[in-house]
Amino acid sequence: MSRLGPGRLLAVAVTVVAVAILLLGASSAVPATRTLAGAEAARRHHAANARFSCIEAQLRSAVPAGASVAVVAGGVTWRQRLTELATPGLSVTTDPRKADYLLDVATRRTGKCDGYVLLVVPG
Amino acid sequence: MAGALLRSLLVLGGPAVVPVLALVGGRPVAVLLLLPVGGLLATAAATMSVLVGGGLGPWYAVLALAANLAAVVPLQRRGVPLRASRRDVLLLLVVIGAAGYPLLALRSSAFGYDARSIWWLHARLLTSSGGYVAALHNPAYDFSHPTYPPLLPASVAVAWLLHGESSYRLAQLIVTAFNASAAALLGWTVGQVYGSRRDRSWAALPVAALVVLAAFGIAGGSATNGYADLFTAATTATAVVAGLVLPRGRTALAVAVLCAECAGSTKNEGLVNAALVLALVALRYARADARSAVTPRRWSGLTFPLICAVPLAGWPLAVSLHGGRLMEVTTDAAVPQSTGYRLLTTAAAIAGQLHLLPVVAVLSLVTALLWWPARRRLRLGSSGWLWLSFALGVAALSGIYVAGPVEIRFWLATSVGRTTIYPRLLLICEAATIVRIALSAPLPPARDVAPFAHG
Repeated sequence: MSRLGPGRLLAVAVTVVAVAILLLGASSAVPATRTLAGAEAARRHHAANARFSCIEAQLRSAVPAGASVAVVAGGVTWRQRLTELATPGLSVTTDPRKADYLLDVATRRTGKCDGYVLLVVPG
Repeated sequence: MAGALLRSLLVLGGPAVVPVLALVGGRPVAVLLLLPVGGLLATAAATMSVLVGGGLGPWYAVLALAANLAAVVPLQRRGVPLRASRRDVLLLLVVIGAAGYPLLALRSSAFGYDARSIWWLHARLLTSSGGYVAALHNPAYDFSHPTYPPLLPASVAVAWLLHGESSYRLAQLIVTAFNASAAALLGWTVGQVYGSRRDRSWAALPVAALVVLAAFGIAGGSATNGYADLFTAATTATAVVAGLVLPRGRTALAVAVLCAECAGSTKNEGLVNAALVLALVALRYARADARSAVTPRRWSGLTFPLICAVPLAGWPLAVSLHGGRLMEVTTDAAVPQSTGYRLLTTAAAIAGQLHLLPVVAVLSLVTALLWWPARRRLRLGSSGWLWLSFALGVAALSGIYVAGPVEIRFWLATSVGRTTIYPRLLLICEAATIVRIALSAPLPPARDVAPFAHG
């Protein structure tokens, strides 16, 4: 105790607090899916991605490569997803009058993609 | 999938071996730089593909060959002696191991929204010759921000071309590998703050591991779901530590420049921060050269970082020549928001992410006031450089949010946790440096405070 002057004590205190900061930062490196909320979010994302892959398969079989398409789906998510799924094999245009096909997505009880079905209408 | 991942990493990291050895020598850090430098080669290939035309694959092969040929002469001149102490090898294993633990999340993590809408859509465009240039002129792709820098999409596209299919799972694994290598590189670089003094070097191992884990902890799910934020932030933070904190030297400067190039080639905010960091590095080295009695060499610390900043302009130039708008954003603000409102909302949101700032700032001040001789003895850069990087980074981020037309509350809610990874990593790095300095603080002379101890 006699050798622990104020300077040394302060150095120890600073070291302890700084190490605590590092430990606090590192403690949340636990994979997010170990929490219930994280697992549920991952499940939702997985389901959505499977749905998109299913729609992409329908798109590839329904529209010939190289054709031009216009996405008329409502909703930001489906508009972006259909544009993404059409790339790069199809030419995407924002003008429906110039497209060979119009793309939309609808919900159907019989929809094979988790209740969704791709609608392809000749332009 | 494991085989495809391994082949992809070999194709991306393999061509980087000779150039990395030429730049940093036979040091263990070379292992951690292979993937990031491979990403820079992919970036250059994407830039040439857009600028000149031609497919990504052929350009990647040509530029990889050119980079290796260009590195042969410097490598022969420098030689490749293996410079790896036992501590350095242990440190490398520790940071790689620490970066491996959070990857357990890959068992269940899914692809994120931006991964599909931005990075992997860009990769799809890069796999078709001329597709990216067409997208720059096509408003259908405005939501995807095709002017964003291409390091990760180009790297993913190289892997897809290799395997002949566009697998999103493979893309997720590759992006995560880049994130992990950047986190490990940051941990390694912070470990170098602990130098090689035998009596303190053992602390480098647990501190470096904590820094790597903290990088993943701060990034959260975005580390493994295909997002580019951790790679951008960790490479920028590594550039700060290597160029502004570590003792000045050739290897530290090379690591700083390479990491800044990576950050600037990945995201727009990375580009802004990389340019700022390179300017600060050049200033630090120039000040030291000016005070030095030695005549500055031709490749002085001032000119090297500034010259290396030039390639950062390659991609922005390429997309601009094709009519791409560098700061284009989707416009969805139904009601105009005043600058003052956006500024206050942004400041509150960013402040809400920087919980550690007050404590780290106080510790840093105490350390600077009381133990600056220890810092000088360790030849570490002044903490002012890191704090200046922090302030400039936060200011640049705030400016982007205030000036953008996206509805500010939605924008902040969906991104501020990721865009503040960089400043939060700087706080972690400063805490790690404080530990080093506090451990090195001189002990007071021993004195007998119990005068009657001996009777």
